[in-house]
Amino acid sequence: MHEAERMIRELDDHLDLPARRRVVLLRELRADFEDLVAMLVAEGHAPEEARERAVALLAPTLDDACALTDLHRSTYARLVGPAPSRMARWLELSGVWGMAGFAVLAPLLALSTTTGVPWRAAGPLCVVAVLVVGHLSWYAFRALVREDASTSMLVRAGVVQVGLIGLALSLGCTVTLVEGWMAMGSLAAGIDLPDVAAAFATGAATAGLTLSIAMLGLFGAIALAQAHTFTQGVEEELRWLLSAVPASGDES
Amino acid sequence: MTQQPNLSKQVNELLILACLRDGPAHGYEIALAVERDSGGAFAFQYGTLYPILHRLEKQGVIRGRWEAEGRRRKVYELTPKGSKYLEGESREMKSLFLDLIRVLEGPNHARG
Repeated sequence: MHEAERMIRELDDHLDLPARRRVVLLRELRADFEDLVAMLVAEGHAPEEARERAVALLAPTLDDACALTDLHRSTYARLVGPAPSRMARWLELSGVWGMAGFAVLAPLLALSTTTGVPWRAAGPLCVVAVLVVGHLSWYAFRALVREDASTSMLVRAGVVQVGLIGLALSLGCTVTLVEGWMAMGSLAAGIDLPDVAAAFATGAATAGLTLSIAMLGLFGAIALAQAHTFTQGVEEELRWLLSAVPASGDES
Repeated sequence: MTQQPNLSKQVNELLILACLRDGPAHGYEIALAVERDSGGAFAFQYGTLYPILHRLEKQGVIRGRWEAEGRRRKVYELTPKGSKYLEGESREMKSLFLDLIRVLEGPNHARG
């Protein structure tokens, strides 16, 4: 490996930044390197000598790489860095257990009414689904922040997260509706039909609302997939930047 | 006198801004211009330029843009805010160095 490639690779190694930010910095360094080599060649230096001189003049030090990392690290990455801050850990715990608490309390509160019985089946489902979705989303969110923390990516991921929670809740509502429908058969006598109709209408409206939120998540997932395609483009450019640097600096 | 710890940083920033006053330039061109214009008195390791340039860009004192034609290169130029900043900081720096020279030369030299 030539000194020039080593210089670019070393800078890449020392930049603790997402790929798309590293690409911008390496692109600038590589372009300047190529121009400098071309200038030195034009001044009469042999190509190999020109490359060596350019590396000696241009190579950023470890301190420079650290300074660039500090400058370009996003606010999100500062909050959710490799070592999670105390605030991030608290957010994580309170988020997950808050959702779990809500999902557990909802069926318990509903038990005090006659229409609450079906929640006993839906409740645990919600607890599991919301817990899994919440926790996995948070870990995915954090990984996303470290890898590529653009605001649009985070918004898209947030939409997916909301959608998944909506899906879990709509599952719970659907189960409630089905169970309520089945229970109605055994309690057919003495039921006030307008009340039952109203209860079903409310249940259906809730299920519809949560399903709409779930659909929103689908759009978020599509948007996230597009963002992933963009990230692949960045990875390709990164590979090119780390590839061999031409000797004369006249690459087209 | 509160500027001593940042003096070197300030000098580097002002040298870069002064070079950009003459027109847009990219990374190593700035380093070459500093060396040339100062008659070799100031010279950077070019790599140290990038953190300074990016910091100034973040402050809005300079603007970086990618050249569209040919190979993509990043070119920096002074912003109106940067021109004002350069003017003010140059004045302060001049006053600081005059104070320094006065101290270094001593009271007898000043009287003589």
